[in-house]
Amino acid sequence: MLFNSLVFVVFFLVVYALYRGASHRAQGPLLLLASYAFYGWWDWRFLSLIALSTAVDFGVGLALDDRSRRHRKLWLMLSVGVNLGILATFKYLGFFLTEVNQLLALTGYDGAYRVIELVLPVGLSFYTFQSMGYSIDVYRGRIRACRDPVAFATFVAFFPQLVAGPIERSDRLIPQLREPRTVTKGHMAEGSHLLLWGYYKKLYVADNLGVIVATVFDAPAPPGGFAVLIAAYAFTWQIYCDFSGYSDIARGLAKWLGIDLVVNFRLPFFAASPAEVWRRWHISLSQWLRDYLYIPLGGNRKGELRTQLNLLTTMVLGGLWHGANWTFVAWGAYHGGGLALQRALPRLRIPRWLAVVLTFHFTVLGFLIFRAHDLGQVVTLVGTFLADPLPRAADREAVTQLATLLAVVGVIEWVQHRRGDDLDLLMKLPRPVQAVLYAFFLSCILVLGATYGQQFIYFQF
Amino acid sequence: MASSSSTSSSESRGLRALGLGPLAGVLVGTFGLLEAGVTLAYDAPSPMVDKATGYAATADGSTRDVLVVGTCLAEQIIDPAQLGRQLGTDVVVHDLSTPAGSVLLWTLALKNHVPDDADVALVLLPYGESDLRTRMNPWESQVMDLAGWADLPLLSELSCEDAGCNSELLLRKASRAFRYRGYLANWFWHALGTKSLSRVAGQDSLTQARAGGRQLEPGTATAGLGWQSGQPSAAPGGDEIRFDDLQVLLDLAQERDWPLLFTDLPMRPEQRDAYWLQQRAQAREATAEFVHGGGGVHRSMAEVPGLERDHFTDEVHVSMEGGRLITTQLARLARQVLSDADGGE
Repeated sequence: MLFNSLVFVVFFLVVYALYRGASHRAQGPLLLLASYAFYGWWDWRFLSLIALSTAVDFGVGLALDDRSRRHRKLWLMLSVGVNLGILATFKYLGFFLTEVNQLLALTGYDGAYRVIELVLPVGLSFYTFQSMGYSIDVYRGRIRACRDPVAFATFVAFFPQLVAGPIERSDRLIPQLREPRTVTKGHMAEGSHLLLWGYYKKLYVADNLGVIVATVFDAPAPPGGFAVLIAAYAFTWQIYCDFSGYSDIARGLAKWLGIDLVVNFRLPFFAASPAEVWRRWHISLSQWLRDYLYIPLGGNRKGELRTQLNLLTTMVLGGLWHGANWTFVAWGAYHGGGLALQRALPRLRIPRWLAVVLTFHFTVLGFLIFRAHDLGQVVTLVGTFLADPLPRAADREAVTQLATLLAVVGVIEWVQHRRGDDLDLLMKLPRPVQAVLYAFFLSCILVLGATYGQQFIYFQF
Repeated sequence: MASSSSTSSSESRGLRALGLGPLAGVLVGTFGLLEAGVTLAYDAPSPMVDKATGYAATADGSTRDVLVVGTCLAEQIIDPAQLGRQLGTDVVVHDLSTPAGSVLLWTLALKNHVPDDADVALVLLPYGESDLRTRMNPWESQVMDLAGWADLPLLSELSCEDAGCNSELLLRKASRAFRYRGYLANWFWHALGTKSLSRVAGQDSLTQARAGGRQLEPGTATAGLGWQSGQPSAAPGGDEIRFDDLQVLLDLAQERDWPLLFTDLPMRPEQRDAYWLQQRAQAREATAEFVHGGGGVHRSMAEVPGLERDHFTDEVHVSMEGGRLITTQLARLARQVLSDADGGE
């Protein structure tokens, strides 16, 4: 069930009506039921994976809560093993076997492994990380185990953020799920704003940008160097508006239910360094990777060389988290390299605006790698741009379309940044101005938005 | 409590977000204005609707009508005036062929726009190689313009595999602004001097790329709208002919007692290899068998007397002389069916 489908609208309205009419005791099971119905809409069989992950981490959490218990590490390994095992089986097994087969073929060995084609369950990477993070937190003693199975199961499967995050921390979400909630007009007004803004970014900006992107990335050969540049800009904004749009919708829906989810994006294209990008982009994942991977690897506590290696390892694995493809590994390595270089090089004394422009282009090149079908295409696209970077008459259309699609979102984000990265800016405008802006967003969504629910890009991760 | 803290925090953050009432007003007002604007000022291009309503306005049972239904190919090749002359003075030929037609569109046009008191002597369906395979989204504006509310269950049954499709159908039937949004978007982009940014429904190309050809999440297959039902038959080009829509048309003709004559339009010879020709013949046979089983008549026009390679301007389109020869052959076949029908009576 896609957020941008009419089915979801009906689903949410029904769930919401029941939710508002239910007592707090009944709201918990209702949210869980709704979350499972939401997920089972794709394929009910995959509910078994969520149930498995939930059951294991709930049990492990209880076992780890007793700090005097022996073999606590083994219990933690059980959680990590099951979650990563599910992830490895459904997400990476086919990729791994294909690569092994290619290696074997190179050696002349023809007894290749049979590649099992498994359907990738939607949202798998998100909920396994969220569930596993809980067990690690209990193991570390950061939180006590949750003894309410309904609240815990809802924490793993909470439908607004189940399939593409934000990846929530147990100490933030579980208490909200357990405590009584009162949905106020403030919640609903904020939630409505987030929903409109999110749908505008997804349906009008991102889905339309996808068409410009496809003309280059899905073409047999790039039409020209400048077209590659435009497509790379377009994809950078497409994936941002798609994913941040999803996150805003998720936060808006949760607000309507009286629950606050974390902010996942904070104007990432105004970052002035690679490190700042990751403090602004997919914040819940970068913090997860920092807390559960980078710091356990030693973080920056074991010398400069080890720090660099830790950064690189974390980012490569972060890249691989996105999917089983060498382009993701390369994208992770590219960002890891960028972070390592930033640490190694002396701080440049350049104006912030120039640093922002340079960092933005660093990000754009990264997303070119991310979007390419394979590494060969990356070489082709970059080569085409370097060989023939000047605009042609035929590029005028794409430039006009790009400028039209980004004009409003670009200006709004620029003003937000100028006002101290104020993400609430629109809600602080005079109400008549808000009304005009919302009418504009709605018109764009209704008339120019993509039809019939385009998949959110991050659903596949 | 999370909620109260959030509310107070929104106050402390100086927010004055538009309340639900005003927001609902903005929503209703925006949609209402769009709907009114489209209804009053926008005349969507819909050639099939124009032709069908044009016929409905004149058909009163005073003439015996032969209806020609097809795509742009039939429209270009068949000359209704010549056909009328060759069929004789007791019938009047009406050309309802339009570009971008499909079996579904023809069916809806005939079902909803041929008056009950019209005297339909014959419905002629000269089809090109891919015409019977052309599938339209059930919510295309032309389909929605031709379909009544009562047709929605049928459209859903024929073409919808998920609730999203059904809800899209309902919305497009209910709202003209929503129905014509594709046209409005085209108008917007053209006004800016660019191509339209329309895209087909279905899986994002990035999704396909990432999958490396594998199917990803359930429900995101590239087929998207799913035409998988009915009895398929192999067809040239590797596609399959689906007979679901055709079955509805055949049922309609039986119910209304209209003789149907399907003819496959000729193609330029020696353009394809033997395998393709064999596939085409098989597809033609399967179609003919299905049409006959449903009470219609199928006659092949793969060979038309006098029609030569030079008459073709491309693989399927013909010169005026070619059109004349094909129309003559079609008239010959139609006369047989008319005569059989008259004899039957």
